[in-house]
Amino acid sequence: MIRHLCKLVWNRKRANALTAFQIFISFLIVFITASIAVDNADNYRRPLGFSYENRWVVNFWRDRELPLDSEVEAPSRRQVYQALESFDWIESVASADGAAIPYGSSRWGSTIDGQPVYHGAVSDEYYEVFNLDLVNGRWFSEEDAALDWEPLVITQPLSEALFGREDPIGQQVEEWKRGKGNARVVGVVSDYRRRGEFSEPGFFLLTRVEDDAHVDFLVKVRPGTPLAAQEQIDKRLKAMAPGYRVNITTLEEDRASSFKLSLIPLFAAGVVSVLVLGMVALSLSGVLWQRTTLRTEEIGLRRALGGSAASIYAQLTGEMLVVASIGVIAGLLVIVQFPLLELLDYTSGIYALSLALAALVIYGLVVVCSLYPGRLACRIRPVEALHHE
Amino acid sequence: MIKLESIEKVYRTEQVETLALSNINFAVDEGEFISVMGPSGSGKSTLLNVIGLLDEPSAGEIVLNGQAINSYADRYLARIRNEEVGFIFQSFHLIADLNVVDNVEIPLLYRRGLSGKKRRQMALKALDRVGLSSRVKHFPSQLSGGQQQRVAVARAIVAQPHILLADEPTGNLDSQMGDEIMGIMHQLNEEGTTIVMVTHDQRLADRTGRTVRLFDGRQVQ
Repeated sequence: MIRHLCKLVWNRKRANALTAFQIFISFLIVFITASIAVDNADNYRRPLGFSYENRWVVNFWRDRELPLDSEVEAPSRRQVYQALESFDWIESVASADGAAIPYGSSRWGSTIDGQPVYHGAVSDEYYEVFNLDLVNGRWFSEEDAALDWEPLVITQPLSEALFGREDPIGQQVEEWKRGKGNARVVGVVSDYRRRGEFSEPGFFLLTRVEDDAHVDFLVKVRPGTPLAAQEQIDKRLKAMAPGYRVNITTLEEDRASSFKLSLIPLFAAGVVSVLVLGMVALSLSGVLWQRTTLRTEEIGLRRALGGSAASIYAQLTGEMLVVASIGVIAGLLVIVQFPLLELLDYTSGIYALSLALAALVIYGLVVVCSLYPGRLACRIRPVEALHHE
Repeated sequence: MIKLESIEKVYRTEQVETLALSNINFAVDEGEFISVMGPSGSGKSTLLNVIGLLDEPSAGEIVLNGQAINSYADRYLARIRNEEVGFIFQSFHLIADLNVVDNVEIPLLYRRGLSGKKRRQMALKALDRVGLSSRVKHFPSQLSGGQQQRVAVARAIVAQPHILLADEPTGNLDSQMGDEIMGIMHQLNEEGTTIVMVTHDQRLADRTGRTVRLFDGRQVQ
């Protein structure tokens, strides 16, 4: 029967060409949407590498509108720590520069072997505040200040990229030219995906923050601490350093904003897919309905020769599935070029799953669109169909 | 082979009730070739459709090849039509987008357990019987009317049915081509196929074993 369907489709190739082309285009669009969705889902299920609940970010900086010659005493990092730690609802305080602030916009980094590697400088308390997952070696400590080389903590993906299966602890990172020049790995954390759950596994490199560096402060508050408590921090810091400005955000708010930004491409592709699929669905239904009408005599003949209503329905649906397969195969031929042309940088697993999902959507659409015209065809009485003009 | 008992067929709409067949009783023995005659609107084609299970009688009983038709479920009727009955229509009803051999294969597509190779063998054999072995790859539009009807005959006999129902099989053909088709049908009958043929041509009816005559849906002979 499949060969028979293929012959029918091939012999009516002119009539089927437009439908196959529509399916080809929609398959490509659905594949792109599916690959974005699968990639996001794949990233989402990976460990984030840090905790964001009950973590606040305190930005504290000199008011830029103040005249440069105005006498404003800059508070030391220790003073800010003490001010923050004086609140009993703050469990711990750390400091870090922009790139080490989760969900931040800073892009400070470099490249190793052509891969972007982000860098953040952090205080020793950072590990505790963010509950990082140390998988090898150790975290920074005060003794590191006396070293004549620079200690590094790197993420597991970066470790695998740099050293493969070798133990990274003690290894020099030749590519890291900043700071003291000679840099060695002291610890490995499972991951640190500062842009949130939808971001790719991170190539991230952490160093100890220098004493005079400008930093933001990160606090871990007790669960249930109300947002109104941020006002207390604001007042305390402003009282300590008049002429300074304070901005406090929660990582949960930053995460929600990051989610929205990350999902925009998926949302846009989803909208396009739904519109295209809607148009294809209408077109398919129209084509099938028209075929049912134009082929009434043929349907009647097939019923007379032994075809049941169910087999007629199966035939009409089968023909559309064959047409859909032409579009899908053409789409596959195009999609296999994507990795070769480096248009979409996904793993083979994401490719395969996205292809399967896209094909499932297209074939599902064909089956759904066949329901009503198929029912019409099943209702055709052979006697009437054979006398249909 | 075919037995009709008290067959009635009434077409009902909201306002009109039309009696198409009334109290039809006759039997056709195995290997018989009978014709059904009558003026237009007398119920000839309706009777053929009822015998061929394309239409359900309003009352009465049909027995085909010893099998009483006691259910009009779609799948059941489709199977009986496929296994027991072959149809030849006045207007051939060939599928224009399929070539000759693919047209002939159609009834076999609805029979389970037949391989593609077997179907092709059976179709070629049926085409050989009607003398169209040299036209298997032609499309219907490339054939004459007589050749198209011979394809239709091949399609009707390809599944080796016991009963052949022909509705004015020569109606669209000139006399020479009509004679060719009648010749093939007689040959099939001689080989054991039971044939019921609707015609309004007395000359053709005279060449069959006997004639059932209808008038206004009633059997008059």
